[in-house]
Amino acid sequence: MQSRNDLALFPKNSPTPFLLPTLVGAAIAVAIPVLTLGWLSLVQWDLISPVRWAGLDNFGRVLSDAAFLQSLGISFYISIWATLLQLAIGTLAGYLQWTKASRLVSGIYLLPWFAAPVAIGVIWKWLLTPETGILSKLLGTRLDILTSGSLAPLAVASVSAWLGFGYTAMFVAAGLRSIPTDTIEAAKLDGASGRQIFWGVQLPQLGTLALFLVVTTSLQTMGLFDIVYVLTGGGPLGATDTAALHIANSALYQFDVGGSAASAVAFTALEVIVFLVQVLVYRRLTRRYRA
Amino acid sequence: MPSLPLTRSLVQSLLCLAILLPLTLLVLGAMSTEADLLRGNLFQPSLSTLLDNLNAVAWGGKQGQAGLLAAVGNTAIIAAATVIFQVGSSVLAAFGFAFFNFRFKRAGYAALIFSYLIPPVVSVVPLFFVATDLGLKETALGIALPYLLFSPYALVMLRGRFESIPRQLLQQGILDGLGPWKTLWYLVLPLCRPFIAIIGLVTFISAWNSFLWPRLIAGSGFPQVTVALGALQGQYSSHWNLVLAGTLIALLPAIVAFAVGHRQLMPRFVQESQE
Amino acid sequence: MIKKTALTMALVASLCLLAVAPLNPASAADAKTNPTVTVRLWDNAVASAYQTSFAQLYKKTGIRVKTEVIPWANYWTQLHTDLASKTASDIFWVNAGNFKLYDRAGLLTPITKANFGSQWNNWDASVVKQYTDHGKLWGVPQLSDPGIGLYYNKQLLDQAGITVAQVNKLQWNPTATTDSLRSVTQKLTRDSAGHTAADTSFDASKVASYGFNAAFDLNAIVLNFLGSNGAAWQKGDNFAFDSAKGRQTFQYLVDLINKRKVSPPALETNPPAGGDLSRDLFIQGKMALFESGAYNLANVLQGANFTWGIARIPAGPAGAISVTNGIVAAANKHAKNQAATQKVLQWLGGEGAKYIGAKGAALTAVKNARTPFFNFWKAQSIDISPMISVLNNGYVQAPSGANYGAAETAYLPFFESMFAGQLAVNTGITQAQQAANSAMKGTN
Repeated sequence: MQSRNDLALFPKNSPTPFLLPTLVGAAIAVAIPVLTLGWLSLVQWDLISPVRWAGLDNFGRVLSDAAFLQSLGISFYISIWATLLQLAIGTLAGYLQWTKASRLVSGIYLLPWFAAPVAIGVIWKWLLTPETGILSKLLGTRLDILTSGSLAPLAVASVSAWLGFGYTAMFVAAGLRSIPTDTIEAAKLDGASGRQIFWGVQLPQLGTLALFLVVTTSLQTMGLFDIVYVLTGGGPLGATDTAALHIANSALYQFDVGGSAASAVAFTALEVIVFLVQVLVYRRLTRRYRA
Repeated sequence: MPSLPLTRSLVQSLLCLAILLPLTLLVLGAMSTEADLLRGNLFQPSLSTLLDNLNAVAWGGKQGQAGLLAAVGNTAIIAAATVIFQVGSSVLAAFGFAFFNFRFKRAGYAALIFSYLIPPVVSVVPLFFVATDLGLKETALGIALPYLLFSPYALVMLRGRFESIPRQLLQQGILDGLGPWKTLWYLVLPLCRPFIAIIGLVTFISAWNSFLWPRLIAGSGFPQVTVALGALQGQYSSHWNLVLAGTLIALLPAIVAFAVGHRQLMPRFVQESQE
Repeated sequence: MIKKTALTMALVASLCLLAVAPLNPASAADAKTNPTVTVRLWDNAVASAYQTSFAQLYKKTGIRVKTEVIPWANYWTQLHTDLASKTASDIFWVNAGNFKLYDRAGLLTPITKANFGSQWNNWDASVVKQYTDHGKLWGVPQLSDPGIGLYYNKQLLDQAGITVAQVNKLQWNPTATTDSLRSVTQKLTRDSAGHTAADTSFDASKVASYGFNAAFDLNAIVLNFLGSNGAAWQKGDNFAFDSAKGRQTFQYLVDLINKRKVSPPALETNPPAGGDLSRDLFIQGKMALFESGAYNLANVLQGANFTWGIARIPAGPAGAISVTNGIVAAANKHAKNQAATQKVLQWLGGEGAKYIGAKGAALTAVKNARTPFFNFWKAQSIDISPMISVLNNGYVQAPSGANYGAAETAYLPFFESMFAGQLAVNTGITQAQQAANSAMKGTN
């Protein structure tokens, strides 16, 4: 992607008409919610009573609330597993696709990605539910995955990876294809094995792509909602109560709008920090490859 | 060390099985009766049972619950409108970023991308209160309006695509007297038609699959397919044959889109977005 | 140029579509000539009865009534947000624990003797009393539940050699080493190899049918067991379950699930949707005894394909004491058509009441409209008298309090953990009561 900021094609015309719709869209989709959120985090409101000013009380309350802090941890935990699984499997699948492309296979990998996450959640709920789920019936014994505090988060992470690995594979395969074959041939001539070529030549060249995949996958899995909502609803006993679920529930189930907004601000701050850390780590790792 | 072709066949078969098995079970389950499912009997699927199950969920309940078919109609309208407006506004904005210079260009772009860092639930909850105050609850406008003109994903993808168009071509057009609008319409768009089509497809799917926002703002009043499916699962919790039939209805458009879209477009799309 | 025009037209068309969609084509012109009133409730069977009833109302007055059913699991949160955004239905059901919050927030229209004078005397006095707050009545009495009963599956009883007479005399005692409830439910719990829960070789991961539905289900289980042990859930608006007898009761229920294994694991039956699992298991023939209320009679009749009946609930040390509930239809203060809404309410509290019991859906709170209900079940050969006679022993107070919703959110996690066996009952009960009481007072 080349950006020629200095050589605009239309130096004399104004870009405003082109930018306006998206700017309006951004105002509605981003600016308004963010500003409203900021205000809501400073008040106390249960939807029915009048709004009351609370200053920074909500933040104090939320940041010392064990349930909220735990939900941040759960989001982290699920995101790490889901990202690892999705990227590992996706990279493997993409690599194999690069060695020999098959439209059928890549098509099958992508099937879940086209489906609504809610539908995927429903399918897996049917498979894994203890008492009436189909796997329990087929195996003849009760499957205690969704009712196990330790297995349920892993189940959520796995379903998320199951949904997304085809998408990752597609990008990895395309990225590998964009590496000039001369580089690979040269490495082969030097006697490097397939594995060495992958880790030493291909992966580093995929630098930006790798960063893109890690960032987008971890962001998406941190904010996971639909799958968790359908699969476990936050259970058992809060073991899969992700931050996203917690924020939604505190506003619309417990009617603590101020607390929910403060939690949302804290959660977003956390995501920004995670993103910055990822970028920093990336820059550090790729230092040798940059001029 | 097993050979590459062998490893590849093994791994790919396992992965494909992992994908296809649950989906096959889904189809079998939707074609079974409730009693069969409770006994774990997936081996007597029948088309007529499927039709019975579909019938039970497709039409509305007498007590005001919308049927899934109605939800499909609602969702199609909203998704179509979303595609038109989101792709339209993103094409324009991408054009602006690709071919113009202006103050705050870098900052503005970065800000737009940064909005990606905001988890969906964080913006959805305050939007809910604002939209409700504006009386948009349970309306099509309420579902579509917030995200109608904003798609950072489409913007990034399209900008990349536009910037990879050979400059000489465009400069030639300018020399021939084309202004920005005509350049867009006569040169850029025709060149990027397949790419834009894929963006449109992805946008359609994304709008179709969205759950959280429609659930909050429209719930059962103007149900989208995902919301209706979620409600179905909650309501008919152990009547899995019905829930699975509903899932099939919810997935059908995705299957159609997949069949139409993936073969030619996907690989090319990824390739072009790499540049 | 044609393409451009086509595109512009498409854009304009979709804009118009979006703009027009919010307008209900029927509403504008229709509203004056044929007013539509919306009614919201959580019970499917009664909603069917309502529709028959409202068809008659339409013939008489031309008022169109639309019923909407919101499942119990979502009912209260949806009502809350809808009331807050003024998009709730014109009339909606409320129960004892939830109405005070809304009447005190000024969201309900009180029911006045002026408008309902002729119906007032026919209403169940206990329901009227239950829903009177600050001297005003806040809803038209709709249901006055009989007591809780014990549904039994005759086939499963026969299979285990248990008679209906035995089931009618079940007793439980938390301080004894065993009792008939424990031994009978164990005999009725079987795994796929045919072993009962009393056998050492019983495999709890392969249960084919459960004996009982012990769970944290306030209305169906908890309140009745507490009452039957001489303990209380609340005294007035204050939570009072942290007593010696209260703790015994909860320990007993927890042991039924986790030690005796006669009920499904709590993680599957915990609220909000948990009650549905036990009901479904019973209807599917996988549960022998199911303690529940009249609200499930219609469901069981429709779904069960085995012989079933109603027995008296198990008696504790203080006897067999059950909870009883009234439900009212409240009037939305912001209803669009106040006059029509009042007319519908008058119908619901008067002439229209007889339809509720006609297909056995529920027992109406309008006293002179109750015969259809009893006749229906007599015609089905189901004897529901155990549900009625149990109330002669006295009854348990239904949940109440203006902040009951907040209190429930506060105590629920503790009970879920206790019933799942992950929190000791003694510590959990104390914590739960503290949390519930401070939430009720509004001092979180």
